[in-house]
Amino acid sequence: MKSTTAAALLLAGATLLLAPAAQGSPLFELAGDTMGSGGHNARAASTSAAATYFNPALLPRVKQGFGLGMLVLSDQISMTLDGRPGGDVPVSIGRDRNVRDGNGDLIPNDTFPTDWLENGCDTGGCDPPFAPRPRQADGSSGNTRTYVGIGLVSQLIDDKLVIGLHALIPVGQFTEAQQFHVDHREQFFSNSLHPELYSDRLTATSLSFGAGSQLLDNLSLGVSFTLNLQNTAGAGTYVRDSADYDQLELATDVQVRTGVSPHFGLVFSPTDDTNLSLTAHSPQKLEIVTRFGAALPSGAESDTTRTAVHAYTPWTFALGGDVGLTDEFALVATVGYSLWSQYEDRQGNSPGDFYGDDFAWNNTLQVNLGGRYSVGDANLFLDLGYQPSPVPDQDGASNYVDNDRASANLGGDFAFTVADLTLRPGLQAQIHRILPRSVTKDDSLIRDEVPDDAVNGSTQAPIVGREGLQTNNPGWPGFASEGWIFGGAFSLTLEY
Amino acid sequence: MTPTNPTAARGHAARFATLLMTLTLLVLGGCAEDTILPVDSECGNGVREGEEACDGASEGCTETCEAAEGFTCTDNTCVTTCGDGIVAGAETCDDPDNPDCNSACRLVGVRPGCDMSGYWIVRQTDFSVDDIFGGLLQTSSNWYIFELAQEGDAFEVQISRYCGIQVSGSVDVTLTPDGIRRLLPSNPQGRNNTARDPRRGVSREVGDGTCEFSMDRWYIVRGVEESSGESPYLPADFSARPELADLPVMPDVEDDQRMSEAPIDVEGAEDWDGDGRDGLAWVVTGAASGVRNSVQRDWLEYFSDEEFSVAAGSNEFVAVSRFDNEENILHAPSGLLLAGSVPAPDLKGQITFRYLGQTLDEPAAAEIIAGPLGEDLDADFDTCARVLEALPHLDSQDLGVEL
Repeated sequence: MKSTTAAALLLAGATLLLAPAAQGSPLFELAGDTMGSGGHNARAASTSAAATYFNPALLPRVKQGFGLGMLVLSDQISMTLDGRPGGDVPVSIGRDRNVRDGNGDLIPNDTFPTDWLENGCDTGGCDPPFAPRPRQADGSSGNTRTYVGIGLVSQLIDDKLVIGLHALIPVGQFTEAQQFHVDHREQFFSNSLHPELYSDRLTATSLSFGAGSQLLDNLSLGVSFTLNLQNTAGAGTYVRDSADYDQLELATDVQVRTGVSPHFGLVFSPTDDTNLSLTAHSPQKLEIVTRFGAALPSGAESDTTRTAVHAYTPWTFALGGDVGLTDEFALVATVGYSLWSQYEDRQGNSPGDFYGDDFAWNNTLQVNLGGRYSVGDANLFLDLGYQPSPVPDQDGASNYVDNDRASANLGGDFAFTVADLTLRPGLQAQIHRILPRSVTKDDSLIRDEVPDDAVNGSTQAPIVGREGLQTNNPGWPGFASEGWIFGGAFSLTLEY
Repeated sequence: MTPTNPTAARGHAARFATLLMTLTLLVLGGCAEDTILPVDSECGNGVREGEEACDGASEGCTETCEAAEGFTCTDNTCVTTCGDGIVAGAETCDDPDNPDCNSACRLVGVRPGCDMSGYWIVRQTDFSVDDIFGGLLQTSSNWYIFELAQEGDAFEVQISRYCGIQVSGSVDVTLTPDGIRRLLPSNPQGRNNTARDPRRGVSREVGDGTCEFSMDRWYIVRGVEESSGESPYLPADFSARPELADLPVMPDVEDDQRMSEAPIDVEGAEDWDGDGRDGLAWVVTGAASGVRNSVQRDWLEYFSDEEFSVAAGSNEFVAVSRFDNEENILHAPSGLLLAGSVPAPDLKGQITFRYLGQTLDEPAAAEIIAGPLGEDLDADFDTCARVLEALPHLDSQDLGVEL
């Protein structure tokens, strides 16, 4: 067994080498236990190395072994944008930058003519040409991704010290971090809306390691960690020709700092057939700090620093339990409370602080219920869950797209022995319904990108089309979203 | 039996399993699709929606919210399309081959031969390279309105108004309304110049249906002491054609004073636009933004050549513009706005003359000139706004010019 333990530790070390690409764990939270029969009640009933993340206090109850798995998730979230009833930013705004408001102040350079966004511009000063970026032409719906799962559980000192490691690693496409904006500023980039809590968050390489201990016959404790990264990228540039970035001279300086987010678990068994679980997961995120500096031939220099936050996962506390109704059948339930009010978006902003208290995110209470059926070495499970959206109605300037979600997870595993090796294959399917949601914008909360008193700064002539609301906010005048996430997983664990 | 490569077999199996699971999931759920709902446009509500070209009271917008024949619509405003062969709106002609029809599709009298007498609006287009982003092409427009009088082959400026400047390129540069008002009566080139003789030129027919055209070199200053053409920074005798570097040094400040927040009193410079800082205020927008103040001095001269020949009888022509410029920046809010530009050495500037008629009563002149030139500043300001509309700023792309 010593050699097996050493091999396990070696595997653990090798997996930790993946750490530089790891970040928070929204993928774990969505997929649940894909290596065993924990399903979406993994905080209360994980039977595999996935307990490392969900509840490390369950590790002493998990059989030693290491496993490999494959998970496929397909997120099919559709956006339906309402047609624009006017509200176009006039072409003259792009042609004449000397536009002033009634106070004589220049209006800032932060809007494009709507016609340019839809059709591009290659005449009259657009040199090099301005490429079109039609509304919602670059959304992020409809992705199918494959992940490799790795799990390891090893008893270092019987059930008094059991270590675990669990990772889900995207195959083909590695971690993606899209720093999209959720307001009118997205017109400069994709000019589209994106699901706030899915899409690129599901590309995170998720890795957790930890340990659990059966302190008393009816009490176990555990602690585990996920990695938090802070990537700092500095890009010093020499801008020889601002219209031809092929001539840009660039010097980058990239640093990666690693931190950990701790997670705690406790399992108390008041009777032989009843277990209660308590877990606390601390916030997780990936920070990308970017420093830009530009030097110009004139000797002028300018620099700034921006911080992007990706895959933010908030404090989550959960209470769970399972109770055996017969020798074969048990009920399991988990109630979780997540502090989404502390959410930091991709621009590093807190929604409430940035868009006002009415748009602060809500903390959420999510529920999972399920059943477990075991016969011999075979297990079957079914979980049903409901996760309300933390995002308030987006009738203002922001466009955080998120919906309530209902889920079902069905699966099972069984063990068999071949040549003194005990193997446990498992198979599961899950389905998440992204429940329909729609919103109509309140025009009074939308930023008017051309003031009604805008004039040409030189001639004082009124800007044509200045009356009323002009906006390129891609979510105006309203939008709807709904969809599905489908998942399937296969795992094979070698128990020893 | 063909030997099997175990590694390849495992790879095929993994790919097959992924494909199978993916297909199963997609068959179960279908693919997501983003859509934009069509909007129910309501013609006549004053708001341009959906496929409407326009929706409003603008001339040229039909009752069905389409552009009327001869019009094109942008920003819910329709304008005539000069050159499409359709006389529409305020157009009085639309025939590029008709010498009576100018490029704004207005009928004007044909000027006799090469005679320059009458009212002309003028756009001077010059090219320079910036010193901010490493030599990008900048295009400037200077606008004037002239009343000219010709005797024999020579003509001279009777009265001139200076209608402002606009620059585009790596940054856009414009003037404030107060700056344009101050510029209007400045650097007079005609009888209103009490310090020197009017600017003169030559226009004579050379036998092949073209005119030999030229206007003498003229010197102008901006933002410095200047009274009806008299300035210590101008040469005493324009006809000597001195280079700018040979003239008295223009007012300036120390390098470390240029970004001073407090206004600095600069000897010889004047606050031309009342913004509290000496010099003329330039509004810079685009890749760099802010208002900078400077003093400037130019010389400019115009002439025809083989490439830019002037047809006899033409009521609009383009000749060559040549210039030199120097600028001392007295204040800028950031280092980005401290850099200037120099004339592009190998690019010909272009001066566009458009004839309005012999008198202010003629239709083309009356459409643009709000009143007798030089008598009322507000009327001249309105006139200049119409000049800019009639001969809009063109950038290097519009003109097909590149470095």
